Amino acid sequence: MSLERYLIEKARKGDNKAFDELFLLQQKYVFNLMYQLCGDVAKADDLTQEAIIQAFKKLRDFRFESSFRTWLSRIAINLFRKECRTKPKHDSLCLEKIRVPADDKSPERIVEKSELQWCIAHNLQHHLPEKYRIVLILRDLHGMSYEEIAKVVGCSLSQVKTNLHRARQMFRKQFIDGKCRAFADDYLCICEGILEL
Amino acid sequence: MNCREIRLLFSDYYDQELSCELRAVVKDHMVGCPDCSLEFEGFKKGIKLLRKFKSLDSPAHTSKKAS
Repeated sequence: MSLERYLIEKARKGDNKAFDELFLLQQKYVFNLMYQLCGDVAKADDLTQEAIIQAFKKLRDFRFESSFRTWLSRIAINLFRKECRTKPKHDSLCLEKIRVPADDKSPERIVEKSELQWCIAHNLQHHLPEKYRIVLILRDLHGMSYEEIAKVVGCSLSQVKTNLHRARQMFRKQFIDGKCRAFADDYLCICEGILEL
Repeated sequence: MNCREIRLLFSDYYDQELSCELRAVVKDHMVGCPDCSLEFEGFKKGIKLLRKFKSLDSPAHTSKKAS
């Protein structure tokens, strides 16, 4: 029996410690998924919290027909979709709101990283329709298989393939045609010698 | 297949989701078509760029709130 299954079964019997352990394993994943989708740390935190509460309430319904992560992703994605429907965003992203991992202390590098992170976040949230954004993030940032994505978003495998292809093309096109290209070119040139997209 | 049709398969080709037969068709086409080959390089770089989007540490209080 896997650790995950062991924890799920204990949590179902009311073991709160097992429940905490179970969600500790997925917390960073869910938070980042929500952050990458909505681009707002506070909102991502709220959605993560709500997803955990819903998963706790529905844990008895989990049938081990998919991985726990896939099941939890579906709950979180549905919450995100609901949030998009009920609260259309009005505020645009600004550079100061973008959080950057503090793994490089050089001020120049931090600025470059901030700019690139801003561009990626901006393109995802403002230039990609929700259905494309979701498959792109699940596949290219979280490495989910096509089958898992189909289960998470509740669509056919062929729809996942079509949406992923369009999403990848659209994301790249935004960088080429948009002002973000300058940041992307600079960043990739400096870091990896890639001169153009 | 023409260039347009080949480019529609880029995503599946990149993810190795094509059948052996189709994979060979795309590969052979790109060997003889510098435009599609260049386009595919750009396609891959777009994905590489997206992967520069870093993960963040989740706020420490999240798990505690649930229990």
